Amino acid sequence: MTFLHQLRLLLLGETRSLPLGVAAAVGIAVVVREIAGPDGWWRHGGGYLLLALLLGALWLTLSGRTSPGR
Amino acid sequence: MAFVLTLVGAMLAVALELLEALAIVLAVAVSRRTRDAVIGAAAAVAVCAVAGVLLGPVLLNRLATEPLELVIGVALLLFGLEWLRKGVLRLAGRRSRSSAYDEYLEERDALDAPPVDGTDWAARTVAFKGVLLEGLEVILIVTALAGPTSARTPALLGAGLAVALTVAVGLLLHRPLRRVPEAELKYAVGILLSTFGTFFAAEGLGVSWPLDDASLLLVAGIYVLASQVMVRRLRVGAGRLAEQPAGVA
Repeated sequence: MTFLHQLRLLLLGETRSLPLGVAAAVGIAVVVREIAGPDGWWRHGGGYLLLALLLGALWLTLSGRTSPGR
Repeated sequence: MAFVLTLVGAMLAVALELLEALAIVLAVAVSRRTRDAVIGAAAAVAVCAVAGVLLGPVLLNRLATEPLELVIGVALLLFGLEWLRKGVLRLAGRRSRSSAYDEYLEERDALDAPPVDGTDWAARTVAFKGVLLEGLEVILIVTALAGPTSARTPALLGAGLAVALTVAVGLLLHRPLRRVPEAELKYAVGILLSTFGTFFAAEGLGVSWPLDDASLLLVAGIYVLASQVMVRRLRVGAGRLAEQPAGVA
């Protein structure tokens, strides 16, 4: 395994789906904030929406895996 | 509340990373020569120190508060959710349990006999690379955790305690490596880093958490509950796969 490959694993992890999922969750949260307005329900409820989106991304990453690995 | 969680999170994350680096250095020292292992590790520590000195102030002082919180949150989420993903897979039996002792044995077996005389560049390179990669991860995690001004003291204190702890383990040689419940600790660190990542990223997006710092406990609790559900679902899935006749799975 090359040093650069190990560095990529260190920064982005073993899967592409998880960093993409985090990016998608944050991106959706930004869009929702723009729609809802920064001082509406977003101010107190936006954190839990982001949490739900991140858990969804984690579950999608995990459910895509079917075989045991190291 | 946030002080204790930051301190524990930084201490556990740094200690686990340093244990992995220690396993590599010990393997090089046992298989080749202690001197070469220490030289390689010391060179990596010097590079990491320079990276820490350069990265910390640049990242923390040049960004406004909200963008900084978002950057820190996303960085913590990338580390935390990856640790949590691996932790869930390990607890569900879908991934081999992490062990610095196994890593020590693998590195030791991979190294041949040392050269009779002269500089052992191979041993130095293995020790350097191992410590550098783990050290860079430590710097990124501690820098991210120390991002908010109020979190700098516990993050740095936790990292300092972890260094002292790992040096003590190193002095007692490799046997304690066997006794560390790494899979469970890494799962816990995944929960903590993901919690802080979610908290900071949301604040960076203009969220004001209803219970302030106490929300950290609520978010951590939700991560624990949700990840335990995922562990159970994956265990059930693994059982079904094992029960299927050959050729179907």
